[in-house]
Amino acid sequence: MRARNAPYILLLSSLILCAASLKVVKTIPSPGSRTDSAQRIAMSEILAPQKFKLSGSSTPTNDGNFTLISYERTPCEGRLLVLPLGRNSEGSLILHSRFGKQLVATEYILEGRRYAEFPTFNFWWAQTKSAILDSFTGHSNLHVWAVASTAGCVQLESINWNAAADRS
Amino acid sequence: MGQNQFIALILGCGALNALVGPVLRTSHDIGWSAVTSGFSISFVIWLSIAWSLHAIWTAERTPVTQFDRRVGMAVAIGLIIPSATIAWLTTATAAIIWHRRRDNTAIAIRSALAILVFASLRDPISAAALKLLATPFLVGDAAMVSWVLNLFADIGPRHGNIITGPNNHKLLILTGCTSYTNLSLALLGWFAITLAMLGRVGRRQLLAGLFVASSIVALNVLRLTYMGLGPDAYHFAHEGAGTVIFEATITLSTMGFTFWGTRNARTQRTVHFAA
Repeated sequence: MRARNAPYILLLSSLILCAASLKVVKTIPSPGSRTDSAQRIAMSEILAPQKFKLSGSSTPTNDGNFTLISYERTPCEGRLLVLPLGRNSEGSLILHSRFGKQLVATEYILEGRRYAEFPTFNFWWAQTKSAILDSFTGHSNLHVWAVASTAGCVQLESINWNAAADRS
Repeated sequence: MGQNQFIALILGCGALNALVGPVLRTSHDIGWSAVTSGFSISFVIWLSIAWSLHAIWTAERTPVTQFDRRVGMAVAIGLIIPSATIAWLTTATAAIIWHRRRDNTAIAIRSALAILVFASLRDPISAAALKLLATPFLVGDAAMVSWVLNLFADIGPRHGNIITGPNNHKLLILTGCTSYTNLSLALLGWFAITLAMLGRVGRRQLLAGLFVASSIVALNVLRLTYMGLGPDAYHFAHEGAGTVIFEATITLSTMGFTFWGTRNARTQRTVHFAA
């Protein structure tokens, strides 16, 4: 009798607890907000020595999980746009959708390497390795950066994306 | 301590090890109110694990064997690595090993172990699938939503998982909104209830599982379609009462189809016994 009732008790409990959770779930902070500043610092470490200056940041979606960072380099009038993607390819088309024909080039950067398409497998493999290796030392913060330029004078291939690693 | 109690203790430690990270993180972020949100872990997972461990713990007491102790030791070593994914995989592997050593007469224990395997493997498999197959999941949902929207609204072109709805309203479908995210939990619920009630998954129950999966995808596409109609519709379905309606609908449809499958099976068994 008890075993037969167990699934029904499970159902009832899940419904009640599910309803209660809906009331508080929106107070849980977005995981994206924790990594924004770290990503900005990491990007600035690479771009500042190459004469790029931070010109602003914004949230391209209302959900707040993405932060679009823009850089300028005088005398070029164009901008370099950077969008850190920490989870997967879900935000890989945001730059294209938002800026469309303004973009001269769009690429993806992972661990200093440039990719024409979102590096799905390489990102998963790098995160898996990092998760195992960093599990003893701390939290891994690996991201893919979607990067794009709005002017021909900002050439993605001329930027040393591995600059931070080279210095250390 | 008997053999089953030992197994329950080891597997419970494995599950606890995998869950403690998210629990502490959520508690740190939002304090005691994390309890009512299940520490950001679905209640389907909590209850599936709790039911399985309870079923194994309350089973008959037989002596613990040397083999059980060796498996327990291997699990303990695996759990030293502070990774939730490895803790889930270790727990699942131990549950599979103990499941395979039980004969077919131990239906309750085998069912409980099978539910634990499903619950333990769901997290690492989902994590890998949502990394490696994110694009097909997102684009698949977006294509269906775009097709439905196009039936009754004037919409713009679709770029991957970004849909341009009426009045240039853009909808970006994220991983958390894909059908797959709800599907994996719904199928865990279906599997756990079916095994807990019947101890097996037959044709009728598989059909019920297919209905569960279809209903989850259909309801999710409808919700996303509604969100694509405009900002007001989006906020209603994403943050407002629409969320509660959606959650309640998918829970009820999952439970409805699951119980439909199990009810028929019990009737068939009764007829069979009567004959």
